[in-house]
Amino acid sequence: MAFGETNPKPSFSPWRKWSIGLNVLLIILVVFSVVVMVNYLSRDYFTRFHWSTTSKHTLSPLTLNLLHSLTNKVRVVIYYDKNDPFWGQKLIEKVAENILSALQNQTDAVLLKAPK
Amino acid sequence: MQAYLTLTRRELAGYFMSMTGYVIIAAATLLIGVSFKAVLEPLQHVPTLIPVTELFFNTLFFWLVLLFPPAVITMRIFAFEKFSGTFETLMTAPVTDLQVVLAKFTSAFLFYCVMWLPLVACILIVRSYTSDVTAFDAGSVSSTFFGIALFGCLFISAGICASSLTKSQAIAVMLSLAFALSLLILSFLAGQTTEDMSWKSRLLSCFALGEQMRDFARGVVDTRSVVFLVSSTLFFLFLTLRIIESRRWK
Repeated sequence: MAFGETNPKPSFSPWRKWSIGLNVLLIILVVFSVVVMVNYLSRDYFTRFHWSTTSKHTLSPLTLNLLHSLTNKVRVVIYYDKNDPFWGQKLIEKVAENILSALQNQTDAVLLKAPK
Repeated sequence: MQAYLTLTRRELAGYFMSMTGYVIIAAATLLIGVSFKAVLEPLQHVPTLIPVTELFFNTLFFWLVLLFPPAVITMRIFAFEKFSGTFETLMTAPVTDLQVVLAKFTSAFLFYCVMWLPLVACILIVRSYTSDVTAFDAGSVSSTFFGIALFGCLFISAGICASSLTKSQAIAVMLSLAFALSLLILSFLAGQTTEDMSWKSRLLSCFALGEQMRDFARGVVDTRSVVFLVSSTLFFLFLTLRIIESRRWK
């Protein structure tokens, strides 16, 4: 820009600006798709580390071996204290969901609610 | 590296030189205290086998502390610099854009960690009074803090990205909150869907923040959650970098 010039020329032409903008947008889309792919793969290949020493939420190797060796139908009975503040329809649904998600063929599951 | 450390120190000092930082810490301490009281009060009468960390994250106050402060912490990061006119000075200094973005992220994250320190004090106080040593299992506590840190990384990076888009702090905080609340709504929707193998439920399960935090609070660190939170954080930082760089060609 010359000294005293009131309307300086823009550094980039509009065409050049659009070209760079499109390039940046494409790079962002590529990175976003990489993020999606990494997350997609992580859903299938995952590990759960148990930091807790109480092992309340960890299945013992013996239980895991037993579960892997099952070939016949299993009846799961869950006992829960109805006076517990966590008892409710939501809890029943959650338990049913967890059991279903652990099954290979979900149509085999028969969920029965005990009479009150 | 020296430039990055200097910028981090400068940004971190910015939080403690103004009242904003102390107000955020005070508000977070109040919410953590109220949250802890809400957890411990019922336990005076009814014992529970569930770890206190797991009960703690189920309270509304916990989610308030997790979602709102990152938006407030990050709202001034770029927006205030642009508003006060120091942005150009910073960007013409002999530092790279990456150093600036990383320094701002690090300082906001460190401040976020400082903000959560009262929770450590709460845990130590209750631990000294309770007779049950398993109430605060070291593994569960550390995984809970690990989860809080990862969630913080995500919300802070999203907040920095929002702040880089505008010179108005109000708009920055609103954008950041909109993102955080959208994630929370998606998390709620993920909790409503049954766990079948459809693409919709698989997609929503990525955003199940409640489930992810429950795992962390139980002492379980799932690589799916870690990958989601870390990759999203990196994506937002990348987006911020591109937005900052756009001043050269816009």
